[in-house]
Amino acid sequence: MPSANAESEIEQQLVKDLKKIARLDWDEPAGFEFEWLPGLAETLDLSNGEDEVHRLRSVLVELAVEAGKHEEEVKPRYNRSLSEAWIVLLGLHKNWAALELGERRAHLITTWRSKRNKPIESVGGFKSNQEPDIYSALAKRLLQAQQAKGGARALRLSTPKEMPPVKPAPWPIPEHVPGRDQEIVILIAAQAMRQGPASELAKLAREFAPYWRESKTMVYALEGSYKEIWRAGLMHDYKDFAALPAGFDGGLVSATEVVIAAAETNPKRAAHVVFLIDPHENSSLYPATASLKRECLLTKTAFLTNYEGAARWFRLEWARRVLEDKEPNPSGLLLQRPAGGFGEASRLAHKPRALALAAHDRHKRAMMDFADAYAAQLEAHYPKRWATRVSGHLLNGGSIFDDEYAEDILYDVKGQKREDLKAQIEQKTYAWELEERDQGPGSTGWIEQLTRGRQGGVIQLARKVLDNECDTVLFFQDAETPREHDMEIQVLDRAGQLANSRCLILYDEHSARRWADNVSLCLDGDRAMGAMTLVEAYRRVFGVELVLAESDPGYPASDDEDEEKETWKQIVRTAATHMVGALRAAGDRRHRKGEPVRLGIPWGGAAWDVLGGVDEDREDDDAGEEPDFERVLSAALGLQEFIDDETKKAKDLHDKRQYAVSAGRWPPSPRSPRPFAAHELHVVPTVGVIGARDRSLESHSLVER
Amino acid sequence: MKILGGHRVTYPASAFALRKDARKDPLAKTPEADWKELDVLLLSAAPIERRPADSGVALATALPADLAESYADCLGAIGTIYLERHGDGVGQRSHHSYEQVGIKLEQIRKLRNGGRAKVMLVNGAEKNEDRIWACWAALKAKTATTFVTDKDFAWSVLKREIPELGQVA
Repeated sequence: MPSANAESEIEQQLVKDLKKIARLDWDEPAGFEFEWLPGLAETLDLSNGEDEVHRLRSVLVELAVEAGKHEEEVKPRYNRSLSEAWIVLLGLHKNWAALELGERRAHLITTWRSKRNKPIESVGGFKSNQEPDIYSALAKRLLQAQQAKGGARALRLSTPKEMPPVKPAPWPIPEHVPGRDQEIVILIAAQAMRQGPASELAKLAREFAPYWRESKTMVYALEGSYKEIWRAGLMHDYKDFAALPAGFDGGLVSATEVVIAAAETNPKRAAHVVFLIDPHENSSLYPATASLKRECLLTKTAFLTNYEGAARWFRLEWARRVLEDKEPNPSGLLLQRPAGGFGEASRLAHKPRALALAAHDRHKRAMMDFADAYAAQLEAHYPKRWATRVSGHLLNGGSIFDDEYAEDILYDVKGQKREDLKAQIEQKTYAWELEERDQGPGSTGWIEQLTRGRQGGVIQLARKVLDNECDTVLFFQDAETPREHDMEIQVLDRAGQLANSRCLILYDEHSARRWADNVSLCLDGDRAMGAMTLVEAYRRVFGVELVLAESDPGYPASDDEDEEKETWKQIVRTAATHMVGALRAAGDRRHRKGEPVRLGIPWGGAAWDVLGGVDEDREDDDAGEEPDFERVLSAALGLQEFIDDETKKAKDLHDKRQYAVSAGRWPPSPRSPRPFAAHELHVVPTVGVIGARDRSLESHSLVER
Repeated sequence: MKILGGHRVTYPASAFALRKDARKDPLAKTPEADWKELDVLLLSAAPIERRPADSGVALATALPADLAESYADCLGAIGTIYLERHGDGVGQRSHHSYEQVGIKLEQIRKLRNGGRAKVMLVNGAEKNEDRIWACWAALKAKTATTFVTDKDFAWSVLKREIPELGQVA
């Protein structure tokens, strides 16, 4: 705290500095050299630079506005409005900044009166009598404001003490500790999201397992999800695929521990949490679920809660990696966009999207900066944009001091922090105003405003997500401040978690910037890369889920030199695994109603091979090839039994498999060869024959057969 | 069904009889009700092959010569569903003298679009152009929910739809 004398000296210096800046032009920040304005530089800790000039102006504007509010309540005597005088003399408003200092003084002479309520007759008299009072009052306000901020600071009394280093958070799975720079993916899926090979979880793992392998990502999954990925025939041999405990056994806590440990050991490490939540299931309401999301926000970890959002996220991550690393797309599973883009008829063309932006109070300035930084691509890809009322007001260049919003803005933040945040926001708004923007963030109508977030705006956003009108929500949430409308935010979250949701929701600035950087790199301009995988292309073009056969090093090496035949074996193995998984998933539903599952089989070699081993009495010329395929179905069933074995914990599956492979006992054989009872499964022929409509033709040899 | 277990459903010969009047027997059990309730259906697409009908190979595509002649320009077949272009899409070709007995294209589409059943098309490991076109036709005919194949075959089929497509080099 400076002494009274020192304070008086600073105040005198401030008066001198204010007189000087009254002659400077705010539109030419280079003219402000703070070494020649020592009082202001010291009081506000200013250094040279355009941003610092803006900050100075914003502080002065703020003081003037506050003084103006006070003057509305307590009217100044003889029209001596200090707030007006500061704005006019210092040219704080653009209308006054455009005039010479003499003209500004001339205006004040006509409005102000002397302390004795006499008209001011000359410029000289004003300069020597009234003007020093005006600057002096402003200098006092400046010092008071700074002291109010400084006064809140605690003074250190103790002596710094050398402390032992704190160990980083331990990894919950000591057997699977990732490397320092290794990316991390955590997969969690509610029961409804993970059952069967067509589940959301299996679809995600099938599409991105090749990418995770290529990028050497450490993939963790809770036990239930881990087993389902195995059942879908995926990632058996990937050594960095690790199981966390089951959800009922503390798995969500373990996942949260991984998030914390990942950030503590390397804050720059990329981590991604995919939690395919079923809003109809209780786990979506567990405190551990909220805690996981909160830790993701605090550690800048992407938190993805639906299949579509997660898939869009990882497609961009994959495409960026290929572009950045200049790797030759080793898996060959990414599509190259033709010159000029995909034609509309291909159904692969990029479609215009709709975006919603929102931010809790502490992150409103971050949201404004984000919109500014990525304005071009947001406008290019998102012709439709929405924001909650206050966020929209700020993004459209509205002032934090506008009467309509004065109470709403920063409602959740109190005390000095609120003042600091207001100043930060006002600086940004002011910077936009100086640029006189007529397009982009900061310009009127850039984003459509909904209702205030805490008065229904979040619910309006949820409606747009439910109706698939809005496919991207960037909501910079504050994990540290409880809010009265937290329930409504949960409604938005849950709308995005429904199985048919096509919305990508990102909750923190870091994830939003990472996503926007990826979009920029992969989709903008003439970039050749489209963020499109072969799997997604099949969905869009044919409306079909593509299941690609993968070679599995665990299967016995074949001496078959026929490459096509070897590939066909992989296909039928994959098909058999998929079919058994689909029958099991259907069985869970059918058997509850006491109904059998129905499997339709046609004629033909393909079905024969997929069902290899079904009919030992097969008699034809191909009989010699049977050994190649006879164990296909057996292996698919054996895999299910291997995973279901209750004596094995999920975390042991990988080791047990390795052991079986090395012992030549992989693929495993089922111990119980009849998993479906007669009343549980009906195998139905769908066979087609061609017959003549005319009976006289039925003697044809084919008809006979 | 020794490994998979379950019950092998059989139908009276009249269910697949070629004589219409036999199939109309009110006492004969027909497979339509079971087809409607299928949970998983296996399919495979085949090119049209003109084989001698008495070759002894029980292929659905082994047709009498006159029928094969009239189906020669079809894109391919799944079972005895012969596929041809219908405008921008693919549909089933019917013949004035012959008829199909077996699950129909419309029935497969209903299963596919019903959202519950999984219709698995299994093809691949081939460079045969006719097989690629047959598979493209089966997909274009909106028969499958799932297509199990290998990467190269998948690219080949997709390129039939979008010829300008390429992998990222």
